[in-house]
Amino acid sequence: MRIRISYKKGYPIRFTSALDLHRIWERSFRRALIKVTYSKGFHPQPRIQLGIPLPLGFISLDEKVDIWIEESLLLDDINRQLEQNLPVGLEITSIQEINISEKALSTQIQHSDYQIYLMDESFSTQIIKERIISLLNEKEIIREKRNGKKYDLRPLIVSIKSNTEIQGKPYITLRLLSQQNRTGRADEVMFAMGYPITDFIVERIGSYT
Amino acid sequence: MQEIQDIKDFLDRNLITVQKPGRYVGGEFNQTIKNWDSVDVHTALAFPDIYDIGFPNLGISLLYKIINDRKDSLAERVYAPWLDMDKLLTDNNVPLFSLESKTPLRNFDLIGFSIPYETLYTNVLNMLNLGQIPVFAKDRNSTDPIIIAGGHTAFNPEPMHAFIDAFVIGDGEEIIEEILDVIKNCKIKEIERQEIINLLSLIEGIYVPSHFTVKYHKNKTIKNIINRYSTEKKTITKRIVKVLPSPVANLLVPNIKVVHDRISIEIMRGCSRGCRFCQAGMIMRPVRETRLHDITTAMRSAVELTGIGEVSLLSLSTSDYSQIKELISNVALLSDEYNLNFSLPSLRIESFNSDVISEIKGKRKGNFTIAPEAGTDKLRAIINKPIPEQAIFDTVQEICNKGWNNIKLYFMIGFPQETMPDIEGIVDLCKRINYLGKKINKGRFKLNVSINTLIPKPHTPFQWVNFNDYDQIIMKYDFLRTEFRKTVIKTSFPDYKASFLESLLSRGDRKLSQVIFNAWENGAKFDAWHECFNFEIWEGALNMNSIDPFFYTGRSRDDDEIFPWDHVNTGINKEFLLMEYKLSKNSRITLDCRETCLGCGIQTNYQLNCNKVRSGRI
Repeated sequence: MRIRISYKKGYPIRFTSALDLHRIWERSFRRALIKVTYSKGFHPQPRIQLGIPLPLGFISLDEKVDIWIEESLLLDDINRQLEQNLPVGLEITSIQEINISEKALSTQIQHSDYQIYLMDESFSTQIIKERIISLLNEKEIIREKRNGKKYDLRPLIVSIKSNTEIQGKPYITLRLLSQQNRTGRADEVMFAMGYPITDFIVERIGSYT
Repeated sequence: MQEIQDIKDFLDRNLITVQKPGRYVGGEFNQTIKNWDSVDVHTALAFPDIYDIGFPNLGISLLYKIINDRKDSLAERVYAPWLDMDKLLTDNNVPLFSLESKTPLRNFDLIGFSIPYETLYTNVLNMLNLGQIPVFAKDRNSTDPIIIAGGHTAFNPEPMHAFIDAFVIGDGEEIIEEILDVIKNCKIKEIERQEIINLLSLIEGIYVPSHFTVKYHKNKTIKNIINRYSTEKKTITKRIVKVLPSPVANLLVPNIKVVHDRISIEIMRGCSRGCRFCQAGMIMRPVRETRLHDITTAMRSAVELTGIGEVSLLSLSTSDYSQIKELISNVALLSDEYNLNFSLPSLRIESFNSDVISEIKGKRKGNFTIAPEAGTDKLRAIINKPIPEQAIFDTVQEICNKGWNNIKLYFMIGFPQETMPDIEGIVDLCKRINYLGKKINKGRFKLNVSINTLIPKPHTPFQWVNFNDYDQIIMKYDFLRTEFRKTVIKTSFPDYKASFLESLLSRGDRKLSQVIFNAWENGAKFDAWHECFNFEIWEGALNMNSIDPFFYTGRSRDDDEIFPWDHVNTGINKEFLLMEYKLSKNSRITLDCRETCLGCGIQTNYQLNCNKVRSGRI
């Protein structure tokens, strides 16, 4: 049986990388006494497929993971057994059964939506708006990947706008491409607008096909 | 409370700027968070290296559970922040805090450091300082926590005597309850800090260094060590738990990658073999086995409570466990049921037979480690690890036939009476093992050889011997490097200066406290990390205090010298260690003491029967 779990990722698990999250799911299932299917071969691996990786430090309202399990179980039972075995910061929002042969999540997603919260009251909505306008006026926004490769961030931005304040703080909504070889990073957009990493926190709202 | 909120807000914004921020947030599955005001005693369990290294520490896991199982106490954890986090905290004047509640270290009642090796000393000072606690014990006042330290280095507490209020010598499981009782009662009665420390000193196994005075001869060796506080407690007798408790099953599960990311189950404490260089083998006597039933039960619950897919059975000599065959078949069953891997470190080839090997299948066949320690039968007799060469070949043949392809061999150099033929013996032995392995498993066979340097340790028969000087060690390293370069065998060598520092601190006395302080003050930290270790800082600190390190490292001791650690009583008589040292000079072997008691002292000093204690029948 293949299931797709939708879940929230919050504090403190936002500081756990996608790679480490893989192991957390494997262990959570073992604690829940649900047998995950293992790949065949010399180094059997649990069949767990994370959706579009969420960068370290981001929080999310809607992440997805596909997991193959040995037995056919009721989705409610899976949910009940699993939810008490998750570490703080992971929260299941729904579980659905999906076709064994369905394509990997990461190949289906086209774009993701983000909300970016600014951590400082001194950033007024007016300034943010101006920075957004000048960002969108750029023909290309050359950024560098961790491996040193340069790329153009501009075509990866589908839309961006500033919003009125939540609890006295303005926030930004952003839609970025999330295709396999064309994925924009929300923090890079912020860097391009001159905000250092300590000034904001990114929340992914959802990823869409 | 406001301060804790400030720390949380600070972390929320800034943690993303450091490497692996998951080191500093806690939130692991099975973590215990108690309401601060609901308990009397607040303890921080501290490990003076980074989270990734300290997390798997079994002692901390055990104490964490014991303390948090008490209604009147809580235990939280803290690890050494890595350099980037250290800087972030320092630059912003944010105190070092516990992972669970983000409480600054200075707000705890008790901080317990686990210090397994000497190169962590500067990190202890650094953590105290980051926790905004005076580094020197004498500078602390009524509002500061009581700082205790335990672990193997506590068996020679003197180099750290100036920084630690009280040392715990030996097993921590029972004494921690007594410590918490004292602190709780004192808090209720509002007894002042120094008096709490005095009361702690009355507990068996507690060493309060400020109660002791050390007098020296002109030649700098020790004249006497006197307890000014209590004439009755001339020596500190280490604590032992006669029956090992059931292993902890609800271990914490890390959210990030750590070393040894597996379920560790202690199956045996102590070792009866008596290798003359091995400190653990002496100080952890008597041998006590965890009951088979307890191990099996704990293993199963640990898998279910943690979900971790790898189990490691810990002891100093796993194959000496009396029911090893039954244990391994239980492990194999569990492994099939839950898709587990398991590892059995510290197998001794003498006590290890093919039944055991056949059962170790697991999913992966990783490294298989053999530790001959020395290159010739003669030298193995001197160090009392008398494995006949033929037995090494037989074992290699057997494990290669069973499908292992990666073999790791451990050797040490710098043993007393070591000659060049012994060093050549290492190369010769490795070449022949490599030939044998290649014959069986062709190109897939790989041999790794790890060379280490003997650090003579307190409370061992080699506590009298000198640490080899630079020229000798380097000459031996160079010889081995050149010879191994002619082969396909991979080797690793230690940094001589790091070994030198360890040797200095291992057998150090009280005068080294000031050296440790000056070294730390001048930037020494993470001395166990190759990229951080800076020997020049240590040289400077030694010079500043006019201390010639040769006195501690390069000098052979007289038979009747009083050592800085002589007031720490491990239950093993010094006469026994001296006899063993003399036997080593004549290449005489001492047998495993399971069959015949050799009179090391543990039975008479603790009034126990080793055979009964071993199997938990007391």
